[in-house]
Amino acid sequence: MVLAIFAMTALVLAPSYVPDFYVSLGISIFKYTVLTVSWATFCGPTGYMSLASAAFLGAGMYVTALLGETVPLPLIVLLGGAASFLLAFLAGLASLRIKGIFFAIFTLGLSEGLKGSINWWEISRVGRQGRLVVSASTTTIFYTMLIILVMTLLTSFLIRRSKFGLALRSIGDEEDAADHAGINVNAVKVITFAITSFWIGATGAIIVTQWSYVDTQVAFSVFYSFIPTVMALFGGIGNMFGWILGAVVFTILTELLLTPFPYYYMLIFGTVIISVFLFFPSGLVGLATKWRQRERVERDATV
Amino acid sequence: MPLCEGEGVTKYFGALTAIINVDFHIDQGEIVGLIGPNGAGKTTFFNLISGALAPTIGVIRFKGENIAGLKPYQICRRKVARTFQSVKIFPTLTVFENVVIGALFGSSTLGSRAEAEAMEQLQFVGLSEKKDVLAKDLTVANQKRVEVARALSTKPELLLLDELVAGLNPTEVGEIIELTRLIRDKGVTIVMIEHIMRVIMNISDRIIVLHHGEKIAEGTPGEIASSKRVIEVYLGGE
Repeated sequence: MVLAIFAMTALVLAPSYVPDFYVSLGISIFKYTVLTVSWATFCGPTGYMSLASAAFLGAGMYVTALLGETVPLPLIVLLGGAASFLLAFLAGLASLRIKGIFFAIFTLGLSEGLKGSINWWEISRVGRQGRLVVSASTTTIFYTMLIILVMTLLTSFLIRRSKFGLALRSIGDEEDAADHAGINVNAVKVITFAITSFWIGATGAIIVTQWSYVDTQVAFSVFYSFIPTVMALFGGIGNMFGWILGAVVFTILTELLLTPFPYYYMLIFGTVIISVFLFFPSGLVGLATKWRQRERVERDATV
Repeated sequence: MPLCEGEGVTKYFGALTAIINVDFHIDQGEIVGLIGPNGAGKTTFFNLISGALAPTIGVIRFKGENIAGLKPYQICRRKVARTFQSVKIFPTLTVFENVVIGALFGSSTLGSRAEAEAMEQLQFVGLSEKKDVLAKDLTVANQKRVEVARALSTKPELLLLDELVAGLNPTEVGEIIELTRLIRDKGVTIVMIEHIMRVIMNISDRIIVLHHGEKIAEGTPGEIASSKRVIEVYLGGE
């Protein structure tokens, strides 16, 4: 708790004291942590693998692209979240009866389909691809993202602690039995899927103001669909600490490797990911637990 | 009025008829045995009552209300609970979490009252000391107890038990039979599918016999044991 307050204070003061590079890095870390925690709050316990994160992020970005000139920024961010919530709700209604790999492909199709549809609309109706967007200062983006991050963690914490968290886990374990134990499984799935998608859309709405221009290739990049899954597994899918750790370490690793090894970084990256998955299937958290256990065994042995 | 009754209940799977025109009634406080050879449609019959399947034709009434075609969670909340032929617990949840779900969702009990309810049911089935163990780490017999406790924590008036003693050793069978009697004594009406004749004859007030999806006999254990039709079905012959 003390640590959390200390960390928050440090983060709040950071933009005034640290170089711009670190502020930008902070924004990246916040962004990926929001994506990963939002994704994992629903997909972790239920085992429903959503590849729709890009659709939710992109929806938020396009809300800013369309309304950024006329609506004030805080409202835009909330509208971005609302758009994402609505999209997830409709997608949930249409898809949550399908399971496993079919759900994953459906959500991937949703992202790609939305990208294609908006692209078609821009070309044939608007007459140009992409749009100019309003820009905000790095400091504004940093603080907005910090608030979104805190809200995401709070949302995730509250869902996991409530009876809906238990319902999500039971759905992941044995959906039929959950239904027969009185859980309205479709309602629980659709509503939590929509709620956890809210802050992804909000993130899209603010993050897009970093650039002066956005098009469908950037907004709905399939990279954003897969990265939350990779980060959550990398850190450890079992708990929130693992998700945050995965997102933070992964983002920093990307930044560290990208500058000195622009050509090899994907290669090094791939090797790191494969090693973690092969040798530590429960992610970084699992790795830490293993180390701690070994230490304890050694200590006990010497006594 | 019977607690639960069906009229002309029929279920097709494509061209296959799993249940044909079955009329039945279950009275308050009974233990009804449901028997029949493999493939007779016993589990399908349970699936129709509990909402896992909707009947193609027919009406199923519970306390006078037609429940045919309702979803499993809706039927559960109307106080019909079930267990499964192959155990369906939540393996990565603790025993306590498995059971508290029934109270939280099945009977909409809140917070600490739900926890107390779950503890009471765990005590009843004899698992209170294992409440913090992951359900997957239990023996099959104890996993079946978890299923029963979860079903009971939804506060059912009708409980459907699908082959509760299958795969258990003789001692465990005896304990589970005793448990079934205790559940009835609490005022819960029970329909049970069982293959072991000794068990079903011993415990049932009334028996319904299914064969190829049809109800071919119904009566007290004594009547069923001496029914020519039933003996033909079980032992073969013309």
